[in-house]
Amino acid sequence: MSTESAMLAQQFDDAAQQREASALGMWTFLATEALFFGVLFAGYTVCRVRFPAAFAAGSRHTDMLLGTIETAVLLTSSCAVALALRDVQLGGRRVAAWLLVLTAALGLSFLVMHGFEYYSEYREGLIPGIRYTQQGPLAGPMQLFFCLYYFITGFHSLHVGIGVILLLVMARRTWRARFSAQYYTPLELSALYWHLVDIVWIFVYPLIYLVGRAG
Amino acid sequence: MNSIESAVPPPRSYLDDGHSLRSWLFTHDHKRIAILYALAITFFFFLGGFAAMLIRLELITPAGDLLTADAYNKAFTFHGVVMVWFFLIPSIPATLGNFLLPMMIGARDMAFPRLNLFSWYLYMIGGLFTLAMLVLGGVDTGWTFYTPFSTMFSNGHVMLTVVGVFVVGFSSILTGINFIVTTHSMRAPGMTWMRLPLFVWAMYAVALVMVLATPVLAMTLSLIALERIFGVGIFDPALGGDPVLFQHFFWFYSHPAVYIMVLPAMGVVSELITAGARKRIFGYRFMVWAIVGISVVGFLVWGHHMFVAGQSMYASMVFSILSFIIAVPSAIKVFNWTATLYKGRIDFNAPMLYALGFVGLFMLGGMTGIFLAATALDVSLHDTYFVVAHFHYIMVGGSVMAYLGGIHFWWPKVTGRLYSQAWARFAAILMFFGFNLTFFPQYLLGYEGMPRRYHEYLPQFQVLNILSSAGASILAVSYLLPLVYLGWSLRHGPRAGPNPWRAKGLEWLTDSPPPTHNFEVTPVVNEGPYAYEDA
Amino acid sequence: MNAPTTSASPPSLRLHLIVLAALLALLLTSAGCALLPLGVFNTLSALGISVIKTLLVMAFFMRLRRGPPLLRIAAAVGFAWLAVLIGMTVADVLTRVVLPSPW
Ligand code: HEM
Ligand SMILES: [Cu+2]
Repeated sequence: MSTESAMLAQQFDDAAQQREASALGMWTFLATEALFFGVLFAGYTVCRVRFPAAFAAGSRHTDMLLGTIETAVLLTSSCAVALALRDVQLGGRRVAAWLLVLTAALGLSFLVMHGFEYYSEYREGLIPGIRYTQQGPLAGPMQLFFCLYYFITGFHSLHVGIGVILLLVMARRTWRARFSAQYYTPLELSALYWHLVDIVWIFVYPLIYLVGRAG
Repeated sequence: MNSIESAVPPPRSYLDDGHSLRSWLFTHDHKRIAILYALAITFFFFLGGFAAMLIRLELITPAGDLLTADAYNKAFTFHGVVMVWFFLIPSIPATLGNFLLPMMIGARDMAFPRLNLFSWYLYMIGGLFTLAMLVLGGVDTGWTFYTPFSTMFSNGHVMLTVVGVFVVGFSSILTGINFIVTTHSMRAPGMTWMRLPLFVWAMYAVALVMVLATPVLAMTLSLIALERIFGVGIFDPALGGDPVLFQHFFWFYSHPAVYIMVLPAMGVVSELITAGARKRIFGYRFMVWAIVGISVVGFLVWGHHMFVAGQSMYASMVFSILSFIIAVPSAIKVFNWTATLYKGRIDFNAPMLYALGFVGLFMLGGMTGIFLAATALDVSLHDTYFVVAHFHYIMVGGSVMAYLGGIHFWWPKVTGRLYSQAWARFAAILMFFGFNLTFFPQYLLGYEGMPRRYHEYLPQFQVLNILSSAGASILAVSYLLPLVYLGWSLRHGPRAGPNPWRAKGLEWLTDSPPPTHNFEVTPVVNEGPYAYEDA
Repeated sequence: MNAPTTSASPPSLRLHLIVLAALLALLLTSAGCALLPLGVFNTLSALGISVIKTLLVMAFFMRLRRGPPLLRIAAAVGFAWLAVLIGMTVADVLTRVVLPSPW
């Protein structure tokens, strides 16, 4: 009995049908995630269209270097998880497990870096509703920028956190040979989820860190 | 003919597959989950109905004598929240849809049975939050949660309500994902897309809307919650934020949500009418494209709720035109139902009466929607009882009628029992009259300018309000009646047999009640739906 | 039992690394562009680069390039609906009569 036939749920006729169903289900879920975050991006667009100067000023308060490093970290982690999946598909186990641990570690380091960002923003008094000490004509609408910044990065970090846990579970399961070249659906779905988290950040980066940097 | 070959004795029905509470609460069987949902939404329906009774009692006299303004606000908010999210949105999809979708396409179960059960638990958790909100004192924002009232000023339990709706939203997202994947990958051999029953098409379309609209609601509600917790947010006018932005997000979800409520009803009615007229549906392909068209174009009209909210007039013009356009596919459906009935051998059984009631009431509701979509007219009709009548014609007259029609049609399949046709016909007719008596006066009231959401009104509106309240009590009786005779049939009704209506469709090929895995042998499909002989 | 379903063999290690290098190069490009005074093109280049990065991730890491078309449709629909939400909302805001700010 291969792992594959043991993993076939009763409602399916064969493994191909099961795999196809899981993939479609995950992609549909990812579409809902895109719309979930999309509301924040829509709010961002509307507010920025109305207060371009305040958004530029707000963005200049963020840490562009750290933001860039965080982006690089997430992009690299995406590649790592894709390679882990590839390894399992080719029958590997140890390398895949370590790649998954690496991915999770990169995710964790992302969260730590973000924590530092939040802390220094707290000290600068840039957190509306908690500690906001900015003055001047742009201080009002700049709060909109910072609200959006915390909502977007907050929800994103939540997803990163869930992703890290998921990846560690997958690493453990991979290590214990729960997956094989024939059956790896949970791993594949977790990887898709992680890529989505990455994609969200790909848009967060320019919208939060790169506005009004020139001049 | 569709066929199932079988020789072995029939397996146990899904109802006999375990009788313990555990066997229900941990079931993965889509049919049992459907029943769990049915029980839960029936509870919420009567709870929401109780709030409606309070509203109608208050409105018998012009003075605000029964409820204070505050209590009245809480009553209509509770009514709206419960009826929309805890009754109407899950009503047909989560009960009839869960039960029938796999059977109609010849599958053993949904694609993700565990996810299906999980979505019921999410529904129940959301429901508990809502009940907690009620017990702790209610909320007064209206089901629309408009900012800045909901974020800055309301001192009701906005947080509990918002969390409840957020959670139940995820329940409907999961149901939607399950339906989409099931329709794509679980169809029996030969069940091509153009052989799907219209009910399945409706479930597929509604699943698309659930999946694409509900996340927007979830995030919008989160934004309200965050704004209440931290006292700042992007809807806050003091910071330059925009309350109208909230309305955009809310209606981006909630207009499509009204189609979540009516598309399944259209699917049910298509089944009832073909079976009751013993004719092939007229214009199957048109019906399919109308369903898909409604679900897509339904996403482009949300601004018609914001004509007087400060939306730009150019946006209003575009939204107005698109709203007129969306009436076209709805009209196509009405014409095709009528054409299906034409020269049919109509059996005026209870499901058919409910279906006919749906067509008439949906038409009145839809046509007044067109009135409201005209910007000039909406300036005076907005936030009057005309709007209230408009959406109740569609949601209560239309969708609830169709839901009950569907329950009556598939009751023998679900329970294996027949109920009293005489009582059921009586209830259907009573419902039609009670409904019109309740809500037709509200069109007139709105037209004369009575605003919605106030507990007092000018004395000249009293006569029509009394008529409306009288109708509501008839309506209440007609909703209670099915509980009695359907409940009675569970014990005393005659056995139904596999196909009491001699209807077409795979679900009628198997036993009533069906065995746990629906079919003993996966059916093979070699013809389109509704292959009635005299077609 | 059914024959094991061999989905197309996964993309090579080399391809993965090339895509990662491209992503990192694009990241530096967008950071660099942001520092140049390009006017509206600052925003446009930043978003354009993000779109390209997204397409790279979806096509190669998420394997859409060789995946079933249905999955590509699912992905595209999510973004299309988001475009409707943003597009029509912004269209309203841009064409409104300007209201004076409270400060
Ligand atoms: C023929 C297509 C329809 C058109 C053109 C239409 C148009 C409208 C318009 C313009 C309004 C806003 C009125 C106002 O607030 O001033 C409205 C309100 C409403 N409609 Fe429709 N409608 C249609 C179909 C439906 C359907 C199918 C449903 C439900 C299943 C529905 C449910 C509602 C609800 C719930 C509201 C009021 C929401 C509230 O303010 O509380 N409509 N409709
Ligand atoms: Cu609407």
